[in-house]
Amino acid sequence: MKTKIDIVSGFIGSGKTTLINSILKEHLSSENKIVVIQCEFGEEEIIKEALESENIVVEKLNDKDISFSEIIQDIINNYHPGRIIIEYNGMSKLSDLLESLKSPHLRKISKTDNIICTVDAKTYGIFSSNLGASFFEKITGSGVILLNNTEGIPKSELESIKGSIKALNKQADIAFEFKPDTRKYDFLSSVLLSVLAASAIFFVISLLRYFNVRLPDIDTLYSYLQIFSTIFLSILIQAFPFILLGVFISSVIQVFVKTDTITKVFSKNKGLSYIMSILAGLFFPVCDCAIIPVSARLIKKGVPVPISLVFMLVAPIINPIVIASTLYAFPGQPQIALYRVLFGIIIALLVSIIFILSPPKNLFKKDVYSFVCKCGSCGEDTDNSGIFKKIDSIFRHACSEFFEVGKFLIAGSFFSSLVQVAVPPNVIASIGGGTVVSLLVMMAAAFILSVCSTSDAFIARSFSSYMPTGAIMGFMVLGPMIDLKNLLMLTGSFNKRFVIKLVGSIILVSFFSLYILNLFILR
Amino acid sequence: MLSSKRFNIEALIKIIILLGFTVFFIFIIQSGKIQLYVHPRIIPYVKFAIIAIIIMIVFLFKDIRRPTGRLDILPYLFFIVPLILAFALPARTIQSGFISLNSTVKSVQGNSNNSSNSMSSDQGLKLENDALILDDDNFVQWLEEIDKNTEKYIDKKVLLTGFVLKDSRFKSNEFVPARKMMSCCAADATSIGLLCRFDKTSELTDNSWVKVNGIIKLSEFDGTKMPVIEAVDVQKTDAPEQPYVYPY
Repeated sequence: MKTKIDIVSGFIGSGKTTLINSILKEHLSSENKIVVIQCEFGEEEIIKEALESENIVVEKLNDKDISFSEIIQDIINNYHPGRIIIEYNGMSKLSDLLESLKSPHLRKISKTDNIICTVDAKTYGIFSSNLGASFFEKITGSGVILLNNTEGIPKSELESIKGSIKALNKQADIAFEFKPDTRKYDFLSSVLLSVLAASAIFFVISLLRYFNVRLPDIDTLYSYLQIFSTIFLSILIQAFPFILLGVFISSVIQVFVKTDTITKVFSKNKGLSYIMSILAGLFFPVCDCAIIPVSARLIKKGVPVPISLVFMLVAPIINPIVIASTLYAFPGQPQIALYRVLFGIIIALLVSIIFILSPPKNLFKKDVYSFVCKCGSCGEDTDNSGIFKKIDSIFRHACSEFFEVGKFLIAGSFFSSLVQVAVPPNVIASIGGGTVVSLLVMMAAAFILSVCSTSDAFIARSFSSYMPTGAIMGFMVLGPMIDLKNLLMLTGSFNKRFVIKLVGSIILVSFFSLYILNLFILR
Repeated sequence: MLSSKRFNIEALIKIIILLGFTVFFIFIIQSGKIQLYVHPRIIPYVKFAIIAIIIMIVFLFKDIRRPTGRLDILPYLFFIVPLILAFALPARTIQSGFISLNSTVKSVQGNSNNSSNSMSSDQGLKLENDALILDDDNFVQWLEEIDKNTEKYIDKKVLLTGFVLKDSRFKSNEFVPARKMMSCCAADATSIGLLCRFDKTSELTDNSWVKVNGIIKLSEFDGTKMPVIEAVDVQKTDAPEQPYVYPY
């Protein structure tokens, strides 16, 4: 197991130690030994908990004459760490360090992993005009640029700094400083909070409207609450087993399957890979919400995005239970089930073509900590020898992923239960219109109601008395692929841009495919 | 925020939340109340969930001795809300919501009397003394059968129990003695039943339970031909033991 080497470079005061401390905090009790090599000492010190931790060692270097490769070799021989983090001196050349890390002996036992450069946004202008090459050299050599100290800087200036960095280094990711303590208020939490707040307001308004703004008596309010609670909990009771299965499978993939294996398998025969990804859904008779953690894990493990997307979109529709429920819900009309599966596959393939033609550059959340898994004990550099340690890893990871994913399931179910209680189906009936309008209405209903794909056939049937078949097909095809619940779960694993692109593609492709279906086949 | 040098509060919170769900699941399975939430076929899955959660709790105990630097409470609030609702509010049979009147499905495709795909052809639905008796276990199947082979059942007697469902589309003497059908969970519960014509319909209270004794006739509703019950007698009755009926 090669030791992974991370390099954190940047000028004094730019935030190197702060960053390293944040990383160490996530690994205080990890199974992995981490050695921090400090070449520079600024105001910040390595945190006490790290210094006291059993698996973290901090080495301070004063003597610049001893070659780096010798030092690192010694450290690896003495401590056998899983990871070495080098806090590199701002005035030394990054290329010197990278050269010494390339020595043949070191290459056998170590691998350079993340190269991060911390930059103080407030001094960027001054440094770049006065220091030139030695400043830029670190930026060009790094994979991630962390821009710190950005408070109070106008957006335009930040944009020009970003532009300047991009010009020096097109490939690097630019991240902004992350204040761990205020993390409560990051984008995700605010999305979830606003969904809940909007739902609450919506519910109150609907209630008031229903009762003609009279104050409803306590009994009626209570029974509404009971109905809401029953529906909300029923979705969770039904979904939890599948979520657990999904995170468990995802953890097994994480621990047992190596990225290299995946890359080898999937680069052989593209056509076969697509067919496999379509048929794989037959073996996953799970709720559509369980598919998301598994698909996200596959992408993280290196399965090409278009193939993973086909799996993610087709699995909930080709699910044998879903097909069976469609046949039951529309007795004597097996063609409905057939069209459903067929169009599901066609739309999934079209969406994946979009992603082949325009490959996403950045999928994951722009979070410097995203390469650090929160559970602290998994990842390819963990010493996972022995079946017992592997099982331990699987369960810890599954537990942590369950809590990650579960909150989106709960938020999505909460909102969709609210809509179901507050908006009687008659309202949907009254909106009915021509082909286009009813199709749009049914697609919107599928998205908002977020019904599990195993039961949406019966709900679709309940709309059949006032909606044309084409529109109902829209409900049954879009629902399993993407709905509010799934959308929220996606935002947990991927960044905004990718999620918007994915959801947008699915909705557009579905709408046009179904419209064509309506025009030519279902007439 | 909160942190402790002695033990890991985050692991403790996770354990409490997981325990809460385990206790809830065990309670509703033991008391049978789970039927108010989900289809009986889901019960084995919930049992699997209970076991998986218990194993996760065991692994979490190991973590209690390992303190972490910081704690973010917000994500865990999401799990507390359903737990509070679960223990504070008793479950309730849904009676409002989706409605799927039988036979309206026929109008959708034009020709659907295609007996090649039937889920109830071998259900063993038999007439008793030349009358159809619908109960908790065969309600959905009978409805499908009547729909498919209406001619066979015209002028036959029918006996069933349902709750009074009135809709704005119905005339004053029309209602549906309906049952709620659940295919997966309470969220998808749909009211199903046959249209029934009864002259004293105005005296029937919405959502009250009635026992209907009538004759099946072929009639029209909203422009489509469908089987309809001409009620002979409608009596108030108690709610059936099983709140929902199931398609499979």
